[in-house]
Amino acid sequence: MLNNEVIRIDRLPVVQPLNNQEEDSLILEWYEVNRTIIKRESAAGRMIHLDKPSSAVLKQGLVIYQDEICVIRIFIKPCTCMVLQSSNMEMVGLFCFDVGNRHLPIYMIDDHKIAIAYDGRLFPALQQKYGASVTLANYRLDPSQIINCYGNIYEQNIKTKK
Amino acid sequence: MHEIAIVKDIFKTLEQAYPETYENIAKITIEAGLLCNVQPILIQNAFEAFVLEETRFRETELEIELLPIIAYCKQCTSQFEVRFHKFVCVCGQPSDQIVQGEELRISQVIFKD
Repeated sequence: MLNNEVIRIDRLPVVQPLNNQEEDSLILEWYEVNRTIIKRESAAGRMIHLDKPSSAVLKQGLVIYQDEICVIRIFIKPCTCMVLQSSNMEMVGLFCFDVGNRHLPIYMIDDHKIAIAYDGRLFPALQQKYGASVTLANYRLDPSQIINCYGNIYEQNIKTKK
Repeated sequence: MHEIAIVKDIFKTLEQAYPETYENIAKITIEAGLLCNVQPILIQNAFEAFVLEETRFRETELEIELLPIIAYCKQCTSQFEVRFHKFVCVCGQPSDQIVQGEELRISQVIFKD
């Protein structure tokens, strides 16, 4: 049963699988995943006070709270995205360069699809440059899909050393 | 790409508006239109970097509300939401008369009890 008590979360729990817990969600916009403090009602109406370290990123489905009664997970709302679909690596590289110059995160949706959040000023410019390869569609932008060139280089080095 | 400057401006504006109490701000809400040329994630990240340095605002929350693009149709004399960058009213009339979407403004400030 819900009451007016605030659920304070200052560290993320180690998930303990239990049965019959109610599933609840903290609903976020795609751009809120790096927020350190969030005070908001969950989908089921629980008042949540999330206070996390800046290094922890909130990903889709991440459990942020668990007790005998409920499990609270992160739910990232889908949003309108500008999507580049191409197997032409030169085009993909140029697109990433243009978008990266604006410091915007780029998300790998699948093997030949990358996406960034819709921006009313940027979309016409990208469409003019890349033509029909750039379209609009709704996607969930999850931080686990972000292209991170430094991370990729780091992982590559680890693999090479092995 | 100048989001740190925007965040500093927000705090400067609030300091000028509330010189006695601005350090007791619990939550700032910003409205950002989809045509304002500022990406919400960059403002949010710039804010997190700012409060990391300005620890007196460590407990302050920043919430960004994205405003959809609203245009005006002369034919219907009514407003419509621009979805998927289609600046066309349901009646079929194109319109570039923007009513909403270019704003970047502080919409709400909540102080600690």
